[in-house]
Amino acid sequence: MSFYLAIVGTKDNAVYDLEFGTYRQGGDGRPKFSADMKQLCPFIVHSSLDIVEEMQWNTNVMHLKVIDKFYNYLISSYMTAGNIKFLLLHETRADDVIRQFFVDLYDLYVKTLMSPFYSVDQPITSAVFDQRVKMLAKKYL
Amino acid sequence: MEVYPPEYLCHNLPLMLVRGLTTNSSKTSQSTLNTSSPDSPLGSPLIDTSFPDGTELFKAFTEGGEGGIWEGSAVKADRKAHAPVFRVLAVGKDYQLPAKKASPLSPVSVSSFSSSGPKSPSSHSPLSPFSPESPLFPDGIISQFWLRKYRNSLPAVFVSFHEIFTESEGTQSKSSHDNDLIKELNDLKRQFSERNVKFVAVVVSRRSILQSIDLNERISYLRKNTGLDAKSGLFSLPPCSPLEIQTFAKELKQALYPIALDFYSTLLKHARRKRARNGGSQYPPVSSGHQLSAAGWNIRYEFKQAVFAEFRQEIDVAIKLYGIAYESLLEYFDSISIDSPRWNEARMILDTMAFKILKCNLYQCQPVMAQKVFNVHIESVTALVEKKFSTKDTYSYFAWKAQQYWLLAQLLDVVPEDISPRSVPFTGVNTTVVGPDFPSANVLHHSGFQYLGAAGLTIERARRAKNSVPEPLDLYLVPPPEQEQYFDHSGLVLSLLETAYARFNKGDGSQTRMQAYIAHEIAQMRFKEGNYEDALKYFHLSETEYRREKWYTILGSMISEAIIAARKCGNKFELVKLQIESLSKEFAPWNSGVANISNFLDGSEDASEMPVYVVDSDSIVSFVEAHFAFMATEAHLATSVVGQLTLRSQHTPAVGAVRMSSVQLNFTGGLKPILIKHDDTLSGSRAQKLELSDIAGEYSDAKGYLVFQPGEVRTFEISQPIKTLGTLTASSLIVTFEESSFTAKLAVNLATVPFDDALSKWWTEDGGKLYSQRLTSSLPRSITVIPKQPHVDVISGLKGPAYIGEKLTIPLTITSREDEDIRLSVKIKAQNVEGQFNVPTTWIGSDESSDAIELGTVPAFSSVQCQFSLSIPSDACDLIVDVAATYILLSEPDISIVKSHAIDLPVIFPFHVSYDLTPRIYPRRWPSPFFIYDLQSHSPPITKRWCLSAVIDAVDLQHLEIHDYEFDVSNVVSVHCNLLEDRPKEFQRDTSSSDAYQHNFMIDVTNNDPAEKRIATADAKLTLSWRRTNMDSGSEDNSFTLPTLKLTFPLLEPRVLMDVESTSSEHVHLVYFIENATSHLLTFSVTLDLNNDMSLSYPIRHQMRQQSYSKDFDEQDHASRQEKVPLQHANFAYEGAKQVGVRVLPYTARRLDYELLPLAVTSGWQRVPALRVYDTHFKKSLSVFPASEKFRVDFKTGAVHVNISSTP
Repeated sequence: MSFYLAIVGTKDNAVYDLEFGTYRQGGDGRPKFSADMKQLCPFIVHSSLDIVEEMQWNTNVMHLKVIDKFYNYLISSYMTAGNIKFLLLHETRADDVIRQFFVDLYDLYVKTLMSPFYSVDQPITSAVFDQRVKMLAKKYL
Repeated sequence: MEVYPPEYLCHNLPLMLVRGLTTNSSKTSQSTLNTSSPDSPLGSPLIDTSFPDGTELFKAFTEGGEGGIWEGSAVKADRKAHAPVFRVLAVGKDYQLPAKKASPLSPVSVSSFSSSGPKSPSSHSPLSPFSPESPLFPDGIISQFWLRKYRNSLPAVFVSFHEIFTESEGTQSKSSHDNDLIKELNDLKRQFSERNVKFVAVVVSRRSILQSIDLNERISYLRKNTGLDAKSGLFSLPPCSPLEIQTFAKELKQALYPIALDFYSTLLKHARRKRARNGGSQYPPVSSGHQLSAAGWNIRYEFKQAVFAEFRQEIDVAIKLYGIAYESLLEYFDSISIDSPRWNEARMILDTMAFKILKCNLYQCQPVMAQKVFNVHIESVTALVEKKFSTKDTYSYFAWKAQQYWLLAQLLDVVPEDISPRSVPFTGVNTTVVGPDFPSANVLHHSGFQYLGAAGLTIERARRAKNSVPEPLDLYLVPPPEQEQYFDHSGLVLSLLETAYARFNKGDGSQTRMQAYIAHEIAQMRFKEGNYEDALKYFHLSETEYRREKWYTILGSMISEAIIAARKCGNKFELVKLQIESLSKEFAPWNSGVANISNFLDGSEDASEMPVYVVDSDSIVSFVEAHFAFMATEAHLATSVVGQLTLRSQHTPAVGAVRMSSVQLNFTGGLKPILIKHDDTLSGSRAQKLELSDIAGEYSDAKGYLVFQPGEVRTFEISQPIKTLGTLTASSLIVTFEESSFTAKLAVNLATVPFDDALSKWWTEDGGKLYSQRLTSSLPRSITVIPKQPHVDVISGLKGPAYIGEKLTIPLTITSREDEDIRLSVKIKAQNVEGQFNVPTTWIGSDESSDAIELGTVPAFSSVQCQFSLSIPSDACDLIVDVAATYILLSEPDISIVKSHAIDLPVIFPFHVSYDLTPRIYPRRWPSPFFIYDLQSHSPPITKRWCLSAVIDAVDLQHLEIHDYEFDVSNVVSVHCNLLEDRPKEFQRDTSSSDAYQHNFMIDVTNNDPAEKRIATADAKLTLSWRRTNMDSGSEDNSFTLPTLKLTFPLLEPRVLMDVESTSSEHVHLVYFIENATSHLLTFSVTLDLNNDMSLSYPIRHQMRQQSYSKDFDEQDHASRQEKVPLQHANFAYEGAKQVGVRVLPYTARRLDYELLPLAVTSGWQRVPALRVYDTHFKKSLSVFPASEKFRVDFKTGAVHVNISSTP
């Protein structure tokens, strides 16, 4: 199973993105997207922002669960209090695990935000952040 | 959609056939079932084209229903509010009813029905599976021909138009024509009644009832002989207006609608009966041995029932019946062989029924149910296909699925938006219907999503078409594998995607990301098929969205594809633009083969042309970042402003250094563009101070080093004198790259450049390194240019306020503190504070009427004077006079400096006047009542004297001088007024109040009215001529008219006047006059009271303090007088009657004398004893009025005082 994660800023700009695979069922953590799909992932995730925009006002929870379905891929979304969107493209439905992943990711993001050298909507280029997200992925997905 | 016969998809409406109207419409019935039609002479003339109302009539009939895929108005539950909707078709002479039975085999014409032989009990409909000529023979369920029969040829209502003969007046010919018509109508009626079709005749006449009197009679005759009643059988239509025709058509439809519904309910009952008899079990087996099973017959009748319910517009019944038929058919598939041609037929019926159920749910405004039906249909058929063919991974399955999405999409295109709203793509997590794997699985999305789904499935189909084909293969709706190879899949996908894009792109700014995604899909497909023009167009549509949201991940790969497309189609502008964009370091990870600017066009350009490509940096992700800041936020005119341009090139390191040929900086607000040209020799400094040359030309030229390493910052400082007032803003920047074969220009709008914290600084260089410091201004690229500080003073010579109606002259002194000569002009403007009106001003000593005056050259440190006059308005208000002294220094003639000075000018009344009207003793005797003066009058002319004393005060009295006055009494009623002319020419200052003027006006009032009037009235008007005494240049004479004073004189009232004849320290001689101006004899009791109580005192009320201009002022006046009267208790002995009865004859005055002897004091103001005069008849005390200035009255107590020492 493969995943594509995107963190979207307040101006709907991509702040961070990552492709990764599962460590379950003997996976090695590498994404196994086809060449077409690899190219398509950002498009699908980006177009699901249309739906996030509609849905975010209908609920008061941060985890919006699965919001879109595209070519048999599901997209889960999480809205932070600061209007940052986490979007995860995945293949099977696992709301609870993804919620835990998002909550921990939020924790990571907030820590990044507290850095005096980082401002909102700026792309996250920190290698440490990258490493930690991968560890989270390994832990949950 | 084209694969489905329209009969299966369109909505079924009650059919009305109209015969006898020749129309130019294409809406005519195609009764294809019976092709051979022997032309039957119908006897009566049909309405030909010359009949004027033919087309109009037909239009009126066909209004409403088309029988299309969506008929929202037809299914409205409330029939009364909505006009009934028929499917109306026109038929010609050759119309034939569809054959009822297959035998006799020859088709039956309308006219020849009468000759049809006896019916065979074993005969079946030509469409029945029993009839060998039927396409369903022997085991088909139902075909579209059956539906076509009820949609096109077998009507519920047949309306036949006939013309009644009115051309000739001959009774004979009329009756012959009428009889022919009766024969024909009877014939038609009989034929239609055999098929249970309602026959309606409309008899049209060319003449109205007025022109053809026997028309009514003839119509009744027709009705009587045909048995067609007036309500729903035979209608007559005289010539009428289009509106009347419409009403006629509407009413006709309303009358026939229930009959039409009955027609279909009869058919429905018939089908139900047949279904109940369990289908074909009763029929004999056909020779082939292969026949439709009982279950098949059941489905046939269930389907028929559902269709008839739909004809009846009973949507809920139709949903139920279609549902039953759908489920039966699904089970029936078990008994159909997949090789049989019946397989495809049954699949089509299944799709049709699912579509009908879905559509009926939409008619009932239940989109969630509709989506559920769609999902169930997809799932059921998928299960069926998997069961029958053991795999669904074939191109035919995906073709069928795509077809379902496409069908739904096209339906949603015509469904009104309130049923299938487009604005909300998903209803969100709170939807009550939660699907198995996806919360909004049962939410009906708008058609854009359906088209997109169809496109995706077609792509899947194309992929499967290349694979090897499993056996057996489902060939429903698809060509066989060898033809499928040549099917244009990509063309279909593209058309679906383009339709989807159009549906998403409704221009309301929503779902823009889906649009971008679809545009990208289309672009890529176009790109792959080599249509680079279109690919570029869609790349462009898609890029905009990703650029706006800065999704460089996506944009990077798109740009590299778009560059290829632009190169392939030779669009050089796009090629340059996209390659400039691709230089940005944002795209470095996705853009490996970035070209340097010089290689943008591969050198294929003709060098002699040198085309120029101008790219707007707002439309791309620009690698050039620019910022401009002024050092200060404000600058004085004619000083130099210092600004700094900061440039940073964020290009990808792959191309090395970037060399700009020139940079042009544009300003708004009075500074010429600055053109910085590249100069290799200036490479030393990164913070460069520009030396501007060519000040007189179009640009200010400068040289700078414009080669940038990746991420390098360079700054350019300018210093320019500014000569225009207002705001100066750095507006834009044009960066030019001149290459050997072309020129590229990048236009940067500084207003839209986003704020960059790292760049928006003031940069300084120290030791080869750049240091930055923060800017204080929020808008550093703008500077406000303010005028130079003036060094002159303006002083006004006016003291005090302005008075209303005054012509005021104000002197101005303007002193220059400049250390050189100036040229000065002064401009004034006077208006009220609210700015509602202007006051005209004139310069004194200038002939010009303008509001400005040129004062010429003023030497350094000296003064100049001028004066202007203005006419003060005659209302109290606050004026403000703006004085603007504008000057130029002789050394700087271009720059004018302004000194403003405002003079506040309150406008007030110059004088306040209070009046006092007191009686005086008329010195002469009154005329005798026994002498007749005037025959009209009953009474002698009695004269009474009054004194009107005016006290005039002012706020600034010492600077005002009254030098003349006018006093006049006008509007005198009932009396004659005589002003005593013993006045001084100048006003006297009041003796008691040195500040105020005082004057007494004596008025003799003589009664001259024949009728006895109690009071007389008059208006007193006082006009003062005055001038200011405090103006150095003298003042003009002004006049001020006080408001008119209303005087009231009592005429008849008896009164007691008191005067003093002489006073000294020893005695005071008081005289009392009791006046009787009436014609009655009056008796008074007179008592002199020496007590000091206040029982009788001076009657304040009767003192005629008639007018005071200002109340406050009046009260002040009282107060000042009280203080000046030393109140002492009187202590007199006296000589005279202490108590006496006095009779006063009519028109006479009686005099009483008293000699008072002061006992204790011998000087000062002494209180006079009060005289009580009591009218014994009227039981009333009379007031005693002091009639001389020798008395003083204490207004508080009413006590009268006399000065006993001042009188000699």
